[in-house]
Amino acid sequence: MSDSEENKDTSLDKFVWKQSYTWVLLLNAAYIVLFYYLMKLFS
Amino acid sequence: MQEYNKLHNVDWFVIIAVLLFIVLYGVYKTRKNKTVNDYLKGGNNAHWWTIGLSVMATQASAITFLSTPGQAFHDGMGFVQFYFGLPLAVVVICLVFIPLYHKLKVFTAYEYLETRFDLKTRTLTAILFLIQRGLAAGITIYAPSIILSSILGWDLYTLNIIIGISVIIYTVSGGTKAVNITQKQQMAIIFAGLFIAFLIILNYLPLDVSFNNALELAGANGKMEILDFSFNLENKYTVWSGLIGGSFLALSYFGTDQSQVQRYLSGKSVRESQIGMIMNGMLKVPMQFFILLIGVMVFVFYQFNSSPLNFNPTAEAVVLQSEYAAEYRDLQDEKLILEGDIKAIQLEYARSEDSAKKEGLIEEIQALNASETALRDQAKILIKKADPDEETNDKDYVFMHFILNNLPIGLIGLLLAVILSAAMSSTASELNALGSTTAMDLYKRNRQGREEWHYVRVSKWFTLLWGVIAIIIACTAQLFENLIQLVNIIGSIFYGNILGVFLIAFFIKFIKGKATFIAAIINQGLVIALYFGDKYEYINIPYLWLNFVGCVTVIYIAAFLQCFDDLSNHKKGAKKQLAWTAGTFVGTVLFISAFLHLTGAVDFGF
Repeated sequence: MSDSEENKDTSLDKFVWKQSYTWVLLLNAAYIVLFYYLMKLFS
Repeated sequence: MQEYNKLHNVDWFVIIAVLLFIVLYGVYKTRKNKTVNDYLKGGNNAHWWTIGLSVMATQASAITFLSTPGQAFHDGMGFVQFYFGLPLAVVVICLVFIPLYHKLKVFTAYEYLETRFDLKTRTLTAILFLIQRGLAAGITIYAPSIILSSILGWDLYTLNIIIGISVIIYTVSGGTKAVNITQKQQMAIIFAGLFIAFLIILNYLPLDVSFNNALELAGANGKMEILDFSFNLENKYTVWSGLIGGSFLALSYFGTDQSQVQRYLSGKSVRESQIGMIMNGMLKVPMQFFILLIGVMVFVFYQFNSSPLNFNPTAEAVVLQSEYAAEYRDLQDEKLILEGDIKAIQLEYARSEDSAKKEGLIEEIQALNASETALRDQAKILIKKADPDEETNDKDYVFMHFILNNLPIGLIGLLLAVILSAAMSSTASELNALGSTTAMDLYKRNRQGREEWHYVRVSKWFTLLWGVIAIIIACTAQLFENLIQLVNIIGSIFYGNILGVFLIAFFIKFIKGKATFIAAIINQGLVIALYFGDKYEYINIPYLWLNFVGCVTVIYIAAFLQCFDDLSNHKKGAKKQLAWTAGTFVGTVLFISAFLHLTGAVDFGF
């Protein structure tokens, strides 16, 4: 693997990794939306 | 009062087998620990799933599983909002705290403060942590013991000692790795137990009441008010208090409390620690939701089955042996009649498919519910008359009452093992952290140059010592009134100050050690003064807010002290720094005042 390919992989890796922070927040936002609909449905 | 103290042999077998397995597994798997790194950071071998489960097991104490379903039984699902801020804190911890702790290869969170500031700031925060967590460790043992002993008739002291010694054996022997690997088994037992309990509750509902019907009934009874978007500060759990207060509290807990920091410091790499924390951020809210849902299903179950006026058997026994026994029995009779009406109307609601009819039935259900709540309140008044010191809030006893009266033989043992496992997992992390902090921040820092095995031995002795202290606190806790509240108050008094110091260390680079140390001392005095000001009614500031106040004030006191120090030393840019600090301070005060005014907490008269 050439240096440039390695660098490319690392930056891609970092990009995917940073996305996981977004995912944890999005997932929790989705929980709140789900709770909202559950509340509307059963209250 | 029903007698529970004769558990079936199968239940005893399950409880003893689970406890013995955890202790022996923890000791056996960690018998090769040699270095301080092995003992205090588990040899830095933990994978992300071990860290994630360990972090969750540390936070979830026995009280989580005893109290939370009871909370949902009485007040519905709203408590889940308390955890909404946790994922925000998790992201900050993954991005800032974990990389730095790993880079500096610290053993404790407070060690980092010496690198950033100086020795005295490290020692001060370590001591504040030891006071607070040392007391809390005793309560982690005492709180489930008092409930189990009261409901099962077991001896309180024996139970304290059994829980304490079981934890001491594997925590002292195997250190962090023993805590981490046993927590995996404990979480497996906890999840299995809760899931089985949930399925059994659903199975016990009347045949024509489906899960969907059960949720409808819960909603009709006001238990499905999950979210509260109001800005009213008097409502304890709202989306906003969860997002703001919850993230603040989670940041203090996960970022600066050694019992949590030690969990992710044991990670194989920064990445493993971060993913472990992210796992916690993803699973915590649904896990709490599920535990609350169990409580709501227990509520639905008791709409079709008889329940006591007060779930605390000791409280009922006290009033039934007093001069108020006859009055209490009258209330019990009234409740029996009411239960018949409630059962009939709930069944009618569940079976009905006509939405207009259902609307009408909801009003009747609410009226019957109000009558039942009134009866429970009258019962509480009678209990208080019989013994003013008796605890009438029975939310901690609801789930145990259900387990002991309804689960089959063997499963009662499993659920009791869940409670004991949860007590052990939290206590183990606390003892592990207390031992590490005493050994590394107080002992090793002042006695360097000894051989590796010496520090391992010292760490083990300190862990043992804290274990004994925790048992003593648990055994004497009954002598002090409202000890649990006292521990929460002490936590609120110290936590904000410690978090403020860490936030300065991470984010406000111009503030140095001297200013931070002096500010921490002044601020601690100020927070204590605010607490007593509230206690003796000079001011009105509930102790839960001391956390927030303590954090903000220590940052500003330190910032101003640093500015004045820089000005007196004619440091370049000092005036600009002072202007920035003063501007931010005014902005913060205005923002908080506007928030308090808008929420109606304080009326400024404009």
